[in-house]
Amino acid sequence: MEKQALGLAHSPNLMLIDDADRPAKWYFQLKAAHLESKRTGAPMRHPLDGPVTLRWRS
Amino acid sequence: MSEVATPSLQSSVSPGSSASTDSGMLWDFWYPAVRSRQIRGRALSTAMLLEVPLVLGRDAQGRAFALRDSCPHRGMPLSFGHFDGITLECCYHGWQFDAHTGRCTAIPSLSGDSRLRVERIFAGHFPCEERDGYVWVYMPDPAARSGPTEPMPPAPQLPTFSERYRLTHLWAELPCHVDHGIIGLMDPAHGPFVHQSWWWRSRHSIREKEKKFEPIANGFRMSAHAPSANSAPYKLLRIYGQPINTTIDFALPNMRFEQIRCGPYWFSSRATVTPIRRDLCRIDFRRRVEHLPLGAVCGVDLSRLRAQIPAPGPADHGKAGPRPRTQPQSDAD
Repeated sequence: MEKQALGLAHSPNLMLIDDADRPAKWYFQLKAAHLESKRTGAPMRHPLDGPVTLRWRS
Repeated sequence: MSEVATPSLQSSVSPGSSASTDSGMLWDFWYPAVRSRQIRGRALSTAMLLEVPLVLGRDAQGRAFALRDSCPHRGMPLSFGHFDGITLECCYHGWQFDAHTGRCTAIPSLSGDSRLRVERIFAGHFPCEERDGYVWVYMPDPAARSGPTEPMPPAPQLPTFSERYRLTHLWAELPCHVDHGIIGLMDPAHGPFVHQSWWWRSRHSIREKEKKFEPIANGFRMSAHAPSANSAPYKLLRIYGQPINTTIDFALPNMRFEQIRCGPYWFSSRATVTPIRRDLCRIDFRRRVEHLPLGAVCGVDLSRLRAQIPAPGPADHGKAGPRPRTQPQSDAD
């Protein structure tokens, strides 16, 4: 993480790719949904509407 | 198949602006501020959560408290003051504050005919709960005009499955926005490149993975499954000859929770990534091992975590200011 921080200090454009980074995408979607729910008072709209299967190599 | 992704990924955050929701940090949640062992007797401790400086301590009954580390009079850190077990006295003008409510109880400079309503003055105060060896602090949204609209949930706690257990702890500060720390937690593809070892895994051991996920409240779950054949702790657990089953949850704001069951043995761990400032976060791993002679397994796994965060090298790449404590610290309770 310390090595990555050296790169992040220069504000690079970043990518999230499917499927390995899909959980990271859900994290950002959850944050956005949570903040929207707080703003409007409406129930949070969960980014997953059911089970999902992801595939990657690791 | 690749897809260019999210515009919401922050690669940097703008320094200097005040603590607010635009810092990408989530309010109205519990965060671990300090280890319980860090506050003893009447000594005061300090921490920072979401760019809010905190002073923490224990009252005469041992109950933890957290106040904003700033006197409402002139901003002097209250942590420089004196604590008598009930009230905290600012070192600058001797104003006194109730440690739990933050209510001002005395201003020594007031004359006898002063009409100032001392009891209407408050130092910022925050709900505190102790769980699993941490003092958790609830950080209410400073933008909310009234109090919380929903009842405050209890602070998170690792589940207990038996009376026999051992807790271990490992932590490190990470010099990046909390988002990067969190997505690092849920990133399955870096393992073969960062967590390599001859007995466990390398780029040559990479194989196809397929996992099921499902929604849970405020997060998602990697559904219960038999772990991958090239996963380190699981390789070791196979010596018990029992079926192994694991479930991994992520929940807002910052929590990854893993449970492994190996026959009659349970192993649970929680990782939290706590926002300290918008350019600094702290990762804490808390593990509970139950009814399982897993000391060796914990040791091996922690060494993998140490390997993930390299020691500071001689070159500082021109970075200014104090270095965060990225050397992982570990201990067992």
